Amino acid sequence: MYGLVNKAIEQMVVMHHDEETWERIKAKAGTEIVVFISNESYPDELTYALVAAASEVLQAPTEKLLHAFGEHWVLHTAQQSYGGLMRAAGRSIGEFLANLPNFHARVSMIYPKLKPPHFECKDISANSLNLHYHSEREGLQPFVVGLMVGLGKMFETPVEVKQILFKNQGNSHDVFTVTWC
Amino acid sequence: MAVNYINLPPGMLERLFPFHLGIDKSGVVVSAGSSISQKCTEISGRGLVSYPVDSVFHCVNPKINLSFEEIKQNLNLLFLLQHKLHSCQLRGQFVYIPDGELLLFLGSPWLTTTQQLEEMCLSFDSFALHDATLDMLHVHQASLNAIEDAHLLANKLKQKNIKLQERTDQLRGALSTLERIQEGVFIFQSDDSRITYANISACDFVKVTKEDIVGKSFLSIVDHFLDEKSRNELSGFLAQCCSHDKVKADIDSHSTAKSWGCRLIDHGTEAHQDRIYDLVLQQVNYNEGVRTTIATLRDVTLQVATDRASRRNERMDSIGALASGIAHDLNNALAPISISIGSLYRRYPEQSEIFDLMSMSVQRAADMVRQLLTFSKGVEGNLVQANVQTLIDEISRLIKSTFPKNIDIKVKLDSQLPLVFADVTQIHQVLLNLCVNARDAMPNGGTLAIRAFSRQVDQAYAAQINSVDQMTPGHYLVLQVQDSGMGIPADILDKVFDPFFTTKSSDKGTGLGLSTVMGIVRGHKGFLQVASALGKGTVFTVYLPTPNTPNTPNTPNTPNTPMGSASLLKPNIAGNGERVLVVDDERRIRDTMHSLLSEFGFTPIVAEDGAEGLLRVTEHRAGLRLIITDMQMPNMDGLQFLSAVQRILPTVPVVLCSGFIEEAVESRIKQMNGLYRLNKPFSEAELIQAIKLALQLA
Repeated sequence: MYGLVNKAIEQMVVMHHDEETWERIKAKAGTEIVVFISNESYPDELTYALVAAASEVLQAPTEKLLHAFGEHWVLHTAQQSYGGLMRAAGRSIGEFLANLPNFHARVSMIYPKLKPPHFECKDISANSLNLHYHSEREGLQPFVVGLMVGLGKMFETPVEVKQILFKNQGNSHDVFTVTWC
Repeated sequence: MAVNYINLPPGMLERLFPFHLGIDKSGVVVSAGSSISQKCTEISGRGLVSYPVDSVFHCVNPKINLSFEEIKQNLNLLFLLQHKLHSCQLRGQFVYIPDGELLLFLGSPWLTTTQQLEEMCLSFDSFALHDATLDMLHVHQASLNAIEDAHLLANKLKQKNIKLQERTDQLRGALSTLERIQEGVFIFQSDDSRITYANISACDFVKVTKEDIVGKSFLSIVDHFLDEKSRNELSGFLAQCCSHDKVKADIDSHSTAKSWGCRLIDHGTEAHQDRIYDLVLQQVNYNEGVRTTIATLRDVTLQVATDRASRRNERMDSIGALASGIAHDLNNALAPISISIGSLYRRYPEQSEIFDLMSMSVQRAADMVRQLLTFSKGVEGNLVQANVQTLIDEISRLIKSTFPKNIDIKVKLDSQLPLVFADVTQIHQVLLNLCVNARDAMPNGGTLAIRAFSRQVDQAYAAQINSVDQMTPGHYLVLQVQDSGMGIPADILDKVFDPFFTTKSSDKGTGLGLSTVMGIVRGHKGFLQVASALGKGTVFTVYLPTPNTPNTPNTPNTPNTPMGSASLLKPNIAGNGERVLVVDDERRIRDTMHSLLSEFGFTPIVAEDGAEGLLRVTEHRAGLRLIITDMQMPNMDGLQFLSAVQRILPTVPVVLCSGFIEEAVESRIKQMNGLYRLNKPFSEAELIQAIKLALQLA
């Protein structure tokens, strides 16, 4: 997983708690890494371990944490690291989501080892679309929902996200209906 | 305006190159992509078409004028066009289209930061999908993020380094302290008991260098200090430390699952230098899974000696009080027998052999009582300034002539021995008792050494000396008697001064020899020390204060009464009915005295305590010639009685009979006139002698 993801988890914990809590989470996850390098590739297991440890230390369900983490990613981490590109990606949530597949396609071409998820936007209308989410990683659906909610906040547009197809129910991938005003 | 110069499907050039420019032979822009047109509309207000290209841009690379001909001659070069009115730069190449004599610029904005996107109001949609500008910006931003990460990492490492340095300083301080403390400290990993650290004291104790001790097994390092029981217990504890189970230890009463302790004795290389240590092991967990054991070694020699001395003194005080009471009672029991023997001689001269035996037995019993009192109260002897060298010479000659020849006697005296105030007879007894003990400790022969030297004892030395009583600083004459015999086991070393304690058979010793020595030494305000090592021998050391020492005993006045010096002569006294008052709480003594005084022609009057004695004095004051009184009595003791008598009849002589008189009482008695002392138990002859002297001197 992209180091920026682990860094984002750290930022979120430190922002809402403190450095000492993050050190406890890292210790519980069994890592002594001092700083996660944004573009470095880290084992997926480490990220899952950090999320699980955070859930235990912060006494919060994993799904809730991932959702919050999705929002934090959009509103803080991506803004800090790629703010210019984020803003250039669209002037509205509709534009942004329309560019999301190509954005991730570019990332996957630049960093072939990172295996970012693949998005497709279908059934696009003026205030909704179906977001098709393809990922080799399991259990990150709440994170995707959090991302959408975070984008809604970024564009000051209330967003509703509803998962309509579930990979873990035998479908080839997950599909979310994103609706905005 | 989109112009299809090259027969592309409608909109394709626009879609593929939204920043393209078409220039005709006169250098005028005839076509422009939508994205660049929007930018230039903002600038010029009406787009680029129909403007001479060199009026809007100048060529940064190559360094040419933007004329049709010059561009055409440099088609193989990369062009960078700079907008003349704002910062927009276009990067790309020109192609020549012969059909229509046109030049077509194909390129994109040249951006190096994402901020420029916003400054130029460009979005993802401004670029063709194949355009790598956004990818380059992404990579560029990623490199900036990486630099930021590097700074963050450097700062965090710096902070960690500062904390690490602080921790290192703390640890260095702690280590420095650990190196300086007197306790020995070993640290080893619980899993294999290999030592990872030992401080200086620990290394000194096991006599292994710090370099060599690391990596050694703890058990092997301390093994030779352990007895079998402790060795087994320690092995069990270490095995338990290796185990991951927290099994409760049952190896020792003060062991827990994580700690264990025992006492070690280092016999040292020289005799009498045993050191005692408490070894305590404690297992600690640093982090999960990493377990360490800390062993501390504390020298408790002084503490043990102090505790032992304290216990010994308490026991001595108890025994002393008991002995004093027994001596008093024995004196009272022996007195009637002792006094009556003379009378029995006269009445039954044919039984003189039996009376001789009785007399000897009584005398022996009286000597034992005196020794008991010597132990319990000390004695006041005839202290004079004495040179012990003469005394030691005398003892030396005596033991050389009488001790077995397989005992090598060595005498070593300092050339200038200080004088001491001492009762020569008593010090003679001290040395003789110690020498006899030394002889008996060496049944197969050996070396008996007598030494005498002077020593200035300061506070520190006094604190270290394991003397029977707490020593006080000062200048001392030191007498040592050392044997190379079997030594005294540590568990009975404390008891050797107890009265009647002996390891000898009953026919060889009364067990009063060393208790008498202690009583005499105490009486001289000296100190006694014993050190012994099994198989190596024993040293008794006597410290006698010299006159320069503050606690030197005062030079005593010579007693004004003969002390048991009367001989068993035939009585040569005859009374003439003189009244003699006998005050004693023991009825048998009163009866015996009454009988004896009557036999010699006196008129005895008896009273059972001081109060009754005073009544009798009042009743018979006119004819009273002599008072014989006991000292320890109920109701009114001898001292109170005498004080009252001194006021009523100051000229009547008094014979004071006692087994022992306290020092404080002694000084008051000495201030009284006409007072004569008679030690209990006394014989008839001694009583008569005392009566005669009292009456003659009255």
